[in-house]
Amino acid sequence: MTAPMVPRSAVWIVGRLLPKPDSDALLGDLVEEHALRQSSEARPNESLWYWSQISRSLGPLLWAAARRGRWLGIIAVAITIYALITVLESYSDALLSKLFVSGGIAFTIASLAFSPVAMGIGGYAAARMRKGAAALLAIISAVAIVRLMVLSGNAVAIAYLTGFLVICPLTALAGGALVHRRARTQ
Amino acid sequence: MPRSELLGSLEQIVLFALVRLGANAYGMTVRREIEERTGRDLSIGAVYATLERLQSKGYVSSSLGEPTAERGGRAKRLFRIEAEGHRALHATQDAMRKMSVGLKNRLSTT
Repeated sequence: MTAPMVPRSAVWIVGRLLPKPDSDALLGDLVEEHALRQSSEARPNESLWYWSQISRSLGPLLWAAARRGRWLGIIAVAITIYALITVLESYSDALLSKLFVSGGIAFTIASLAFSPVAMGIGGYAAARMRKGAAALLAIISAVAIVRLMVLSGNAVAIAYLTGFLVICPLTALAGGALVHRRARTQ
Repeated sequence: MPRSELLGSLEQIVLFALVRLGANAYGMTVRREIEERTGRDLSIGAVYATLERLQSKGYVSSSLGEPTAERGGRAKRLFRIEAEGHRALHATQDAMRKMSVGLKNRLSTT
């Protein structure tokens, strides 16, 4: 009998909430019991059982992760780095206006490039400090940009911010991915 | 005798499951044992969260087994109740027994 494949989303969710050996053990338990229930004639249709287990496990596992300090640490790292990037952005605009003519092409390019580069570096730093913090940083930046889009109500600003909505979270995730890739190759 | 911490109901149930299952106690068997005996359909996450809490208190220890094909190449985390866990379970049961002694008629619902 071959083991059923675990959906990648389930692996990702459980992997965020438990350390690696425990997440593997939990997923293995689910695979084993799911196969047992599938083969039982008394329980012919158990396709919902698997996802019911995952969704009902979220609360207890989130609470356990918070107790462990894992999520509290991730949240603290992501918020701190996001706040640092926001402060640096305000200083960079002041600095750029001294270096270039405000509103000129050089100023606009440098100003536009700052946020994605800062997010990439921030994602890298966040992932170095806490696994999963880069993903949370990406989520925080996306929420902040959507909030700006809603508040601006200006078509040009919305078009401009849409670009950031794609680029900033992606660069934060890319920074985080760089840490994980380096860790795997070492 | 040192005073052991009194356990919550889920902690007691999980520890009893470990005692019953012995060397074959891991997430899935613990969950199924509880479901079969009590009718409580716990999520696997609730079982792991409880076991982790018990482990942090020193009542339970764990070790990794070998990966198997029927588990998609994943290893089992096997759990074992420790002496402290036995003491806490006994202390909790003892407290429950002392509190309920003589109340049989008053607690009867019929």
